[in-house]
Amino acid sequence: MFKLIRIIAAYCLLMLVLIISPVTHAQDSSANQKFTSVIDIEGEQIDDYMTFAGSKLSPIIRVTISYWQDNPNDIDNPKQLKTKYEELWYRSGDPLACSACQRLGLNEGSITQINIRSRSPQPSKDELRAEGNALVRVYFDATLIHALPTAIIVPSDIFFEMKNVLTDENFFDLKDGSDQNLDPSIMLPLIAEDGASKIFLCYGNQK
Amino acid sequence: MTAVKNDSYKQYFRNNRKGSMLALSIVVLIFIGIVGVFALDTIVSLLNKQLLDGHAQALALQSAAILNTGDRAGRINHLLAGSRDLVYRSRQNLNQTGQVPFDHFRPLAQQLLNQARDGAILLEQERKRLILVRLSEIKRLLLEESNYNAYPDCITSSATEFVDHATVGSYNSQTAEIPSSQLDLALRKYDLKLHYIDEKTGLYYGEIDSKLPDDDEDLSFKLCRLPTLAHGCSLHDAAGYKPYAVIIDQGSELPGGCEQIPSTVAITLCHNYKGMLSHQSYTLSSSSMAATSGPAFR
Repeated sequence: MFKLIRIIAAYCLLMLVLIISPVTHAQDSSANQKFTSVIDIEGEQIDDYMTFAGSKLSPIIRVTISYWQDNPNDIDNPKQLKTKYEELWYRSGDPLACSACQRLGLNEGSITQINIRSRSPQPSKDELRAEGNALVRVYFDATLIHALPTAIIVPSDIFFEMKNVLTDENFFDLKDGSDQNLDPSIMLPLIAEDGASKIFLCYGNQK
Repeated sequence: MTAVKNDSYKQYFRNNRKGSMLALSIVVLIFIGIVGVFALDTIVSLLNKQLLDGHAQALALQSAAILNTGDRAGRINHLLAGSRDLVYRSRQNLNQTGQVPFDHFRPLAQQLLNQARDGAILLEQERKRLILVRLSEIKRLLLEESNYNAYPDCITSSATEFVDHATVGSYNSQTAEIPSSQLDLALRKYDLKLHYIDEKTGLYYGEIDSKLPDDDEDLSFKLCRLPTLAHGCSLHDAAGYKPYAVIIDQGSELPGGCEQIPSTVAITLCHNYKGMLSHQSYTLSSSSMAATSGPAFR
């Protein structure tokens, strides 16, 4: 019974996202205005961070996560300054460490957009894997404080690579009819920056 | 007759005195020569000792620099402390999924925790590898230097120099130079109780295995001691030095390593040579100790 209620609730949530997301990505310049909170995920590959003879810690990817949110109550200064949340450190796509800088200070119940960025114009597979894992982690962190991420904006040129990377994290496209036991209440709504592509990836338990 | 006898005696004594003077002169000359040779050997010995001290210090500094080449020791400390935070936070998140409304997130939380734990295990393996690599580099340097003659031929002949003894360790006064995470009060309390962190500075102490509580107790987060932030390599005395391992003894390399990444190298350099004139064998030794550089960032 409870499971049924949860599934119905998840589909309601899915419908809500479907309604919200086309509005947000259609107008690229004003996309942020539709959200009360924005989280930025930015990856950077550092090749010579932990190289030594026989080292398996290469390359190291540093992913910086920062956020800001609108404060409608403060008329003079409605936009907060960007706050660094944490730095995640990866060996290829495997998480190694995090340096927590701040608590994720998003308001409970705020609608949250997550942006994925890379420092390099053509990010490597390792960098994408790291960004994908960072996305899952920050998505979970935000959900735990009830700041529901409703749109994840991905650069158009890496959109499908990101989808594949997230498959490695057990997030599958609803449309693909995966035989995984998908949970629609754990969903990443991926939207390409140019609005041309959009997919909903749901978490699937192992077969 | 008597006059003739006296003349022959005078002649005898004159000749005899001449012979005695000659013998005395020869004895004195030999004595001066011997003293001169030993004096020269002593001067050469003092000069050699000075050169040996300088060489031992340079070698100790060179070896110590290897321990934190490219700030690898500082960075692995940083990654280990961060790994500890990541495992702790992942475990906290998993615990939050024990109840409604997040219970359906449990498999995802478990997946993220497993990844964090795998990362900690990988880091521990790489930390051990880093120790072996650095010790092997230091041994190679010290043994190569054993065949190196830093002395000009005019000062000594047939000189050999070798590292007789070398140890690695750290100084008691050093910390890990890594700030602890201050965000979680429960973890901070736990760290203070187990003396992992300095209450005043918030820095992790060095030479600790900062184990996490409860279910993640099996993981190791061994933080090493390092000199203060951005401090270059420096010579030290033996006060407060704690050796971890002997890496060279009687000029021969010893196998094995140590549990912690060392921050200091102590060496005893010996110099065998023959005196220039005396050709007597001398052995000089000089000990020196140097600490590696501090981490480049916190």
